[in-house]
Amino acid sequence: MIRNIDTVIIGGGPAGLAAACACYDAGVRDVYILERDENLGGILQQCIHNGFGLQWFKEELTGPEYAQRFIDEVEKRSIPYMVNTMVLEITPDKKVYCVNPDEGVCIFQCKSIVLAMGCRERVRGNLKIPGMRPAGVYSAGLAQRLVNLEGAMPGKEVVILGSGDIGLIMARRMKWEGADVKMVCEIMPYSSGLARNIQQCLRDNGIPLKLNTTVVAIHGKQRVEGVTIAKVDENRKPIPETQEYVPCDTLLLSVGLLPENELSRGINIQMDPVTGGPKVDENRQTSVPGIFACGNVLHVHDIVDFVSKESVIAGKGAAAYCQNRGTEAVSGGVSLNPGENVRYIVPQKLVQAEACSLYFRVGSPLGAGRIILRADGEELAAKRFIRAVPGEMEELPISLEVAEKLMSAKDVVLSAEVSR
Amino acid sequence: MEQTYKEENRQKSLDVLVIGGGIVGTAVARELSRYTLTIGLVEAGSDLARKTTGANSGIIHAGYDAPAGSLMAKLNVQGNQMYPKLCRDLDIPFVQNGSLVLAFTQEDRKELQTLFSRGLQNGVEGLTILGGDEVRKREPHISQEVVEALYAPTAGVISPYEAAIAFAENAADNGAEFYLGHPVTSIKKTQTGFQVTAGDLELTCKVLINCAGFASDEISRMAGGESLAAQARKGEYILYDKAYGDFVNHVIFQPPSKMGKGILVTRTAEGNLLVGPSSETVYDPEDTATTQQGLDLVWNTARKSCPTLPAGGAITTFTGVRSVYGDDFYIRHSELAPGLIQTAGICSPGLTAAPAIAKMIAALTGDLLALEEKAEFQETREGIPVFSAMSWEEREALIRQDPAYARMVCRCETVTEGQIRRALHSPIPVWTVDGVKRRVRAGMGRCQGSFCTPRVMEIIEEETGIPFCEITKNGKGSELIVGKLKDTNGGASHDSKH
Repeated sequence: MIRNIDTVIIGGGPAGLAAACACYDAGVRDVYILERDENLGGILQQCIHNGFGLQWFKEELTGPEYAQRFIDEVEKRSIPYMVNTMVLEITPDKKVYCVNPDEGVCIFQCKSIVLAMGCRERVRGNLKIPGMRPAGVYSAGLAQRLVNLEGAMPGKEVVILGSGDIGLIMARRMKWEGADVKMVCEIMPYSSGLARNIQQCLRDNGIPLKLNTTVVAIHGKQRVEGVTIAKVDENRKPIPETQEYVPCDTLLLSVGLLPENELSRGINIQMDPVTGGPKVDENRQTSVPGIFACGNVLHVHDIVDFVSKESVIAGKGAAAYCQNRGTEAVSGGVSLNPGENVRYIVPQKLVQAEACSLYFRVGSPLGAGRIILRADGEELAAKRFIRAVPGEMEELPISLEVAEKLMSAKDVVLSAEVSR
Repeated sequence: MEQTYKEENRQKSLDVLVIGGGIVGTAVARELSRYTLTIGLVEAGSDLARKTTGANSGIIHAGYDAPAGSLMAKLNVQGNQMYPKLCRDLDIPFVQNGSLVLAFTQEDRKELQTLFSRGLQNGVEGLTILGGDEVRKREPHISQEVVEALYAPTAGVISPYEAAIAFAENAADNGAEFYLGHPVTSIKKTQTGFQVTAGDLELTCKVLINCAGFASDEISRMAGGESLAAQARKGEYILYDKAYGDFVNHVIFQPPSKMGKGILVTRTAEGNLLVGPSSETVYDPEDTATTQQGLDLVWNTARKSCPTLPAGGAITTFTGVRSVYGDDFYIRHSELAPGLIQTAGICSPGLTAAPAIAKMIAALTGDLLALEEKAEFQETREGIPVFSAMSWEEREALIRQDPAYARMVCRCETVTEGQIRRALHSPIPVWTVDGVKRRVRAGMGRCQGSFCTPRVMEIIEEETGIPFCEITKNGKGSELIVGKLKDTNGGASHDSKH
């Protein structure tokens, strides 16, 4: 049986919850959230540390608390949702195929869809770390789930590869639970984690951060017995003379996140090879009309508050699409191109002359400089920065006046120029 | 927590005992289970197909590689012809996509001619030589340097461990008994056969069949048989995300060398892209470590066939070790220990040849015991439903029967709770996380178990009663967690969830 629904939100994590509420508030009452886990809230439910919500709620919350505030908003609006529900396929004409233990196979015919499936962690195989394949090699997120939700300790002597935020959080978590956290290795000359996490998770707990260092071999037949680490040169190639054996029973990997876009790829949504997410316009509409994306499925965020903010835009966009208020023009518009020191920009293009914000990341740590938006060589907007790092997303607000000028431009470039 | 099948009695008297649960041992057990014999199989590891069978290219070779007249040539071609029916009967994923051996130079073209005429001698059907443009038409990612290729339509890809599991389960359905996690520690010759100690089991048998792979030499020595000391050859592989599964259509070989059939590029039976193996002689058959050099060699060499092979997109790397004993398979009666049937050096094309090797060993067994066919022999096996491969109607029907088939556990490979529960109650149940993975592919996908491992562990706990903390990846010593949190009560049950 096919059910008709105005807007289906795929994913009940922070992105899906915020998008659902925004869609509802914009006047679409027939919104439905589909969540694969047994609860709403997504990965926030296993993030029991605090530090969430400083931007959105102006107070410090734990992950589950942050999620609960949005779940409460969903409940307040009586937005229906289905948990234990896995979406297996979407079609360009916006049918959503999913399975649920009570309902069996469900098919929804929607007017608009919001993709909010989140991301997954990069794993050992993505990096091709050589060595044996014993038990004891975990992604940091898996370790976090084991500790925080299952009450289980994944190991006693821990080496962490990658200084992304989950790795830093898990270094502290494992230490507090009595593990000997020997070191956090980072192949880059800088950490991609938030500065506050380096301080609070590593320095405050006496855990060394080894920069320009990677794991070159994993040892142990049944369970990890140790790893070999090595310094890397400027091309990130390990230097054999610097190899060092570190005995441990656990290797945690915090080596990056990848947006989970298997559903999007299934209908050939245009992807941005840098973000790993769909290319979107300022309403977060993808290349398939009526399909929107937000949160970590679109690009990996460092803080959840930005996810919420972005998801409100996507939710409103999905509502407007249902109500036939514009946003049909997915093929036109002006592309925004990353220039000097800018790795990517979201949205990737603008289709309407409206005030909005551009979100972007720099490619490497930068000292003081200026963010400059140029259209056909002319500087239209700029902002100063004291420092910028790849781990922290930057925002450049665009006024209506600037947006109007951009719409008629041919070549729009955003760059981060360091003061000389 | 190692389990055995029908282990109520620690002493067993059997007609035939097979040692080794790889592709050869399981195929032999399945073949012999046609007859009115009592059959047992002992395996040292915690699961079937853990060594050579568990990590290889998974190719069903056409049969043009081995010299005419060799056992390898004969059994390869026979095995190749047996697989299509076997896979239908036993519910084994198999794709007969054909193979191409590429020629880049005039030398290589001569080599193709040699392979072509050898193939004809060996009885390989359908061999043709294709021109470079025809090859590129069929395979858009093949190098512009390719001048010709030998096309063998009968080659294909299979999941080697799923094949071994299917053989074993069908044998078990037909009465064979399996004892996993039981390393053989002593073999005594008796008047009527052998007495074998394997873990806590005392087994007597009339005929002993040595399919122990690298341990064949040790088993033979215990039984008073010949020296079968083999060389270990290690090969490293890179496995890619299913998103790259259609990068090539055929099994793509380079011209063979002394060290083997070279580095291939292929899709797997499950739809991943696989490249490898390197080939390196090693002293320790337990050395299954991948190395930076090995992986670099695999990638760089594979790029000769397919220059646009993606640098990213790998989801795992692994190493397989194969046993090389002389130039041919060694399959015969032991002269020193009558009643012992020996196998050694079952390297490539051992997977392809396995069903034919099993027929040959059945014939050797027939020299020692009267073989009488069982009327009730069950030729087919029903595997675990593959939810990901079903139509929506089939899915709906399955969920109506059991809602557990709607609970997604492994999102990457679309594996449901129903499949995992079913795997834990297989004819030869294996209660490890990797055991589940090898049977239903939970954790085999792009996230490599990062999401589903805890849920798989919970289901194992629920179905088997093994405490959460004692669940292993691959048997004793590979426990996945080291204990409960220090501030929770240390009860054995896993009670602090949420």
